[in-house]
Amino acid sequence: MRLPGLAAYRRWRRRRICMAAHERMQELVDGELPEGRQRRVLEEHVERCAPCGTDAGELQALKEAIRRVGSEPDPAVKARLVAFLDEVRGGSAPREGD
Amino acid sequence: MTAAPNQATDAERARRFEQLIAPEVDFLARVARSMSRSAAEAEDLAQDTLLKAYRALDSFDGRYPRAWLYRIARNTAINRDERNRELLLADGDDIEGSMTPGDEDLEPESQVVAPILDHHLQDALDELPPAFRVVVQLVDVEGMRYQEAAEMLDLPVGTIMSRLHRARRRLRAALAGTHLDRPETPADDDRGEGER
Repeated sequence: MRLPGLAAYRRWRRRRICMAAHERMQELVDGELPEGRQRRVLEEHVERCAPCGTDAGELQALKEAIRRVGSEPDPAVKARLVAFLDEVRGGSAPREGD
Repeated sequence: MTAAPNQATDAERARRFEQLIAPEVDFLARVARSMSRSAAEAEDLAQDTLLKAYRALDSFDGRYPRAWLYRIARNTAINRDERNRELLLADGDDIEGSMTPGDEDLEPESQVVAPILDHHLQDALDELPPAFRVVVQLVDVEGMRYQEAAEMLDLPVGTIMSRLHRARRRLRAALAGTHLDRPETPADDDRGEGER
């Protein structure tokens, strides 16, 4: 016999996990959640729950895009910095008070 | 000859500079950009930082050159003008006023960030207050742990997390209008019900 209120309990529990995933999503995606039961539960939940999975996917995509945009300095800027570095090393850069 | 000791010192300093600082030019270019409002400003900041690093090299113990260079760049940026001081030092709560009102009301779950156009993202990053942008740079680009970023910026880990969260919300909000909307799925209709 199915216990009365069991379905409601399950829905309530799912909502609780969704809320926890929402609150800890950043730490989850950044790999900052420590190993343990909470992390396992949230990882499994994000795999099964479409909205939470979408949220995680978007955050991951944003992280990857930021890394792509921010990783490589402008080649022209880098070339000028390297040239400046040579000036500093060679002692031809402005001295204190110049 | 009185010049010999100075020449030796200069040669030693050049050697240490080559060994410790030169490999960090890419890192310096990246973080200088994250602390600046434009590419030109970032280049000036990176050059000033290199010069200061060279002059201060004798007092540097050689440990953690990246962190040392970062501190010089940050102090240089802070001292560059009053606005930078406010933006780089401000506490997360204080800086909220410099974010566009209404950003926090947007639901990131309903926004689309992929495929992301890089120039839109760069524009959105430029619009972030530097105090937020440097956290994104350290965590997402340099790959630092929250704790490492906190130590480098001399901030509590909670502030790192908070700034990261707010910055990403703002980036997602800024990028939402640049893409086609995500096709609606049944999953969008009953968010909160969780797993199916």
